[in-house]
Amino acid sequence: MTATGTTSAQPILAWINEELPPLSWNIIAMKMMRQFLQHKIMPSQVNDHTELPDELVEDIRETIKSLYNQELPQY
Amino acid sequence: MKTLRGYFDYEKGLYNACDEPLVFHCHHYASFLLFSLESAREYVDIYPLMHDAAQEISYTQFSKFFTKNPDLTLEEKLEAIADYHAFSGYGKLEFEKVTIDEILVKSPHNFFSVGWLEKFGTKRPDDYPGASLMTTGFLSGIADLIFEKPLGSYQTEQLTCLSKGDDISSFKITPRAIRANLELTPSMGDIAEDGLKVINHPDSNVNYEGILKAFTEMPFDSEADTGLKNAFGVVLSRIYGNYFSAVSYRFLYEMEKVAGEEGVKIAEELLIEAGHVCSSFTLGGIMTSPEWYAMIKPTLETQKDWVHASVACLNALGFGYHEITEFIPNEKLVVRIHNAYESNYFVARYGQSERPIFFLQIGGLAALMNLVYVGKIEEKPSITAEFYDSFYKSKERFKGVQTKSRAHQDAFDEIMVVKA
Repeated sequence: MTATGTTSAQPILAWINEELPPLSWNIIAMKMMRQFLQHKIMPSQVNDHTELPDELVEDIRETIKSLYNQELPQY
Repeated sequence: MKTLRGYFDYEKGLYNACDEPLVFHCHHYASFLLFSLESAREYVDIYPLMHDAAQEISYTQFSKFFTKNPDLTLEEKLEAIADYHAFSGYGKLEFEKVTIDEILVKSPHNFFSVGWLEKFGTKRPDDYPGASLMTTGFLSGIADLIFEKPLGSYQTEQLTCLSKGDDISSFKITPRAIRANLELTPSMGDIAEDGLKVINHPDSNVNYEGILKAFTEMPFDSEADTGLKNAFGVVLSRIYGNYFSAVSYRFLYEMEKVAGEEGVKIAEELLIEAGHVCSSFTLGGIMTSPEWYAMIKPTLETQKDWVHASVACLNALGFGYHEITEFIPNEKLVVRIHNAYESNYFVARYGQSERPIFFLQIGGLAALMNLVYVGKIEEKPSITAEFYDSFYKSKERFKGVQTKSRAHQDAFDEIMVVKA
């Protein structure tokens, strides 16, 4: 997290790609499509340089817990 | 007992069961597809979408069967329906109560429920009551027919499900308050070519004709006590090609309505992944099976031959015939598909499209290259989730792209597989 209220997508994407089954990012994006669009974030275009609003990161964390029963580390 | 069965139409490369195309799919495909769609359930009404697609198909197919067999009693019709459900590998059905106001059905073993359990374990308590969406719609279409009501008159609720920890899957079919506006399927669809013949490829020793014959003549009978087909390390079924096509395309249209281009992009990748995971496990299972080692392996000299042989197997699954038109080992594969079942459905139902329409086959052909060149299938690995993850996450993996499509004003369908 930063003082600007955002978190880099890089470690989050890396963790998801490493620890969760293939295409988990798409599943998470599908589940949270409305939240992504509300924040004007296009999940298909998220890359290592994207900054994600902290509120969205918390939702991602909850979704991972709900779908995969795993804890996204704090970044 | 009168039974509904099909046949492999060698001149079209398709399996025809009373004018409905059937394709082999495994539990990985069905379960991953449901998992993907369910992730959108808060904004797309996926359960009616999946139910109704199956209702249209069973109604279309069995209306033809009953027309051909007009003297069947109600009891004989129910026998034929349960028999077909088991023949296809969807599992045994037991009709407990059959009245015009309510039908109760049990399915002690059900492909969709068992498949979910195998792949993902027990379904979460807050999930929809079951995993057997196709069976629910299937039963509704049957109820429409046996009570001589118009298509869309009945609906089915899954009461219990093996995937939720229940001892049995069970269903209740009742009349809808308002009839749903459903449509008949396009049956075999827009078949582009007839009189096809599989021939051997000049660059390979692989006996395409022999493999096609061997696989299409295998009985793939369901187990008598369960109505399931366990083969090659997966739970297999001869599923309606039009079902997964209808579900996939309708889902994409819904995603477009709700989330525009972004929703479609995310969903398309998941549909392709469903095909990739399906082929990886089913073809992976075939290519490590005793049957493969007895019949096919002795003829294979190079990794290239492994690719040819797996394409030859694909030809027997009811997806259409696959012809390799360009092949650079460990680099590029181009395959022309004759009478691809996804195209047959799409062109007949929707006509043309600006977007790709191949999902199962894009994922499936990429999986084939991944199995041979990344997964080193010739070393006979165990086909497990860990194996799958390891080659999926490899930097060397392949992906497929649609390069030509009859739904895109091309004369034929073609998929190219290259490094991701």
